[in-house]
Amino acid sequence: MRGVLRCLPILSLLSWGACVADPEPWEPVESLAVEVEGRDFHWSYRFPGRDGRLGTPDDLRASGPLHLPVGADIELRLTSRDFVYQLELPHLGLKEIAIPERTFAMQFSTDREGRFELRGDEFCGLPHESLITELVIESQDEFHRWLDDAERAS
Amino acid sequence: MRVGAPRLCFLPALLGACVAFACSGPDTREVRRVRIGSLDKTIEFHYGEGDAIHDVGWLEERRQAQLATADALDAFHGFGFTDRQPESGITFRQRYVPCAGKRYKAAHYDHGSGVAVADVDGDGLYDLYFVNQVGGNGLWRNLGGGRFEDVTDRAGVALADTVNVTASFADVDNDGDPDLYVTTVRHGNHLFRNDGGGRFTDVTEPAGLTHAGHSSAALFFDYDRDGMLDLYLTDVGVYTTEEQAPVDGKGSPLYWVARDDAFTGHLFSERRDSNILYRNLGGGRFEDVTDDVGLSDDRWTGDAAPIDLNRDGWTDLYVLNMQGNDEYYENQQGTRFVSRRAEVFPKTPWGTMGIKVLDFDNDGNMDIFLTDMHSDMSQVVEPSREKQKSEMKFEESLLQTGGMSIFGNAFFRGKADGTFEEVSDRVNAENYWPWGLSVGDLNADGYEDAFVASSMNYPFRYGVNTLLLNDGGERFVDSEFILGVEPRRDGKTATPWFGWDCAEDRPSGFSKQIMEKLCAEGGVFEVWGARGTRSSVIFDLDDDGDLDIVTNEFGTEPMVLTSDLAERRPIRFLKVKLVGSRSNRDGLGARVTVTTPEAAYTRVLDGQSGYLSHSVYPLYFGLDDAEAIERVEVVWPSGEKQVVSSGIPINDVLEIAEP
Repeated sequence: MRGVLRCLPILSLLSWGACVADPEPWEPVESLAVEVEGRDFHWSYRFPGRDGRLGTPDDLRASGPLHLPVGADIELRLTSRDFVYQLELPHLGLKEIAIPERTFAMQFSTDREGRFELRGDEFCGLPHESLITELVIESQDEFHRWLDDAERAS
Repeated sequence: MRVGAPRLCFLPALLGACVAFACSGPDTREVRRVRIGSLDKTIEFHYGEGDAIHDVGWLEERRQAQLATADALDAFHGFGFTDRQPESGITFRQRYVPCAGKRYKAAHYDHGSGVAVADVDGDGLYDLYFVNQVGGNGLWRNLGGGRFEDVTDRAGVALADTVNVTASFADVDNDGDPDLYVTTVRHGNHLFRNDGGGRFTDVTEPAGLTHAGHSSAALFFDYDRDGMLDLYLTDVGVYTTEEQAPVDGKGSPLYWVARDDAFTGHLFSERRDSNILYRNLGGGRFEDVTDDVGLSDDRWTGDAAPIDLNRDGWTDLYVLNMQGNDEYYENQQGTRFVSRRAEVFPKTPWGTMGIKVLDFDNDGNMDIFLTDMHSDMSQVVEPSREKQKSEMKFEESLLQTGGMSIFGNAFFRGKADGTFEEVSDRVNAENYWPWGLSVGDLNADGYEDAFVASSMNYPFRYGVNTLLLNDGGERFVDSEFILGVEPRRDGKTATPWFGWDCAEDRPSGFSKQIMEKLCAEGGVFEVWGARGTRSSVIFDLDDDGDLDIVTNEFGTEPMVLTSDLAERRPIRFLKVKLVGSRSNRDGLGARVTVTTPEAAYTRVLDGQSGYLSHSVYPLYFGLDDAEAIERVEVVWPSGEKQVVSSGIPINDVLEIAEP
């Protein structure tokens, strides 16, 4: 992890010092891949951590509304742990399936900030409330703060 | 219903959860009836008592609207059907595996079970064989007068320990009686040889038909014209896991638990099951010749139909796909089957379940009616939209058909030049949540009508069965309310589906969300689901000259829809029974044309009696007002053309033996 080390002397029995990493500021996001997983009738997300790569140990996990930065090329990689789901972004006219053992991609650009509907169905023609949430497209700064929160929660 | 101590011991059976209740001490828990499945876009729970739980508001509106159209209907409709199941003596009840009930998953178990007809004991009356997932199949002997008796055990065809799917009657050994083939879900299929008196012997092993897969419909036809019936077995695909569980929630027998993601199985090559063509070698033996004749086909197939589409005398195959494009194979003189779909049927329904070949307009060219159920799953369909094609919401990543799909029923009208025109909307062939269909001339006016077995059950809403009267070969007219098929007997649209105790039952699968919501405040529930038909057969069950309809339901007793046509007007008809010699004994594949001074009517004997079913019974020709029949022409599968021009009775059976 890149960052500035700040060493704090801590008085202790062994007079050890503890070093706390001060995280490096997030880079502006121009393109972003996010894994979206359906599981137990909920969506969960996996974002790249500070290494900028998805699928590494520092990935960040989140659930609830899906946060994305404005002005970025996005690829949602959809998959599922159990059932067959469908994710829909009505304001973009996009929808795609999420199934186990396969990944389907949904690509779009975030050109304006706002809160939009993120719909989901289990694939049987019946909607499920727990799969309906929001897509939050926010400024880069706000997105970075959200990432910080997600990082602390991880 | 409030439960007190004296009634407590009955509760475990009701709820299917013995551990939930001790059979001693007072218990005042209230069992609340709740119906799952509504028209709304969110799952709603409808509580009710008694008849209140049956109420479906839109049904009465639909009835009134349809009755208002009756006066404009040219086809004779002054008759009706009455469900005489209680009077028939038939007590069979279809039962489903937990994956279609308490542990519901959107998997192919909910496609249900067939019902087939044959005169198994040679007494001249046609008997009924109902297929079941749990508890065994039922063979019901026709006693005459609309009465039946259970002869399952005597006949030896119960298959009580297997999850059964379809039934096919056919005379596979050409000895003059109908034999029986039954398919199962991974328990192995069975061929039973009839001794002529309605007693059957399992000859699966010596026949070489021990295949165990996710089998569905099986059809008999003579692809190589050697006079023996060959068998085309359809397999859906791998929609189950390797986990086994009790079919009734406890004990045995076991069934294979469905996959959570069964509906996308067609996207995985390793989950495909190939359909199989077995050649009848004679001597009770069959041989898998699928690869030899180029018929390897791993579509998700629930049914298929034989049809000599190019009229070269060799029976071709139309193979359904419930998750993708159908296929049409041209039979090249019994040696090879070659795909011709792209030229002949460039677009087919995406989720095809049922098929029937018929001559809709009596022009001598065979037409094809296909029912598409899976396209109705892509969204909630309001009753007002049931007659329209699906607003398909599935993405191409799932559809995988490159835009070459019809999202709803299809009706391919055969033209004289051998091509087909898709006219489903023009002829009003669309309906909601169809499974398969049965065809017959219900008003004996010379035009083939259709009964489309329809409606899903828990956790979906009720849908009507569709009865389509053929209005002079121009269009079908919705007539289920006009003719008394809907509403169902006693207005029932729902039925108890399973019991649930929030304190003890642990939700899983699809039911998890429903039950977690339902159990927010705890309690004990009797969960009701919608009624729904799966299979049907049209035949003259009481031998009164008009055609009746018998169904196999999902989760309830059948409907025995008895027609009063013969009592309401003088009818004229001819039943034609074929006895092949050089051809197969049943005459399957024969083309029969009955000519009167006014018209000519063509039917092909293909055994396709309804969804998941294959029957042996005479061809039925309604003759409208014809006073006489000039000739009956039979083109046998052997190629022999036979004309009968004298001694043709009206309102009777004409048996024609191949020279």
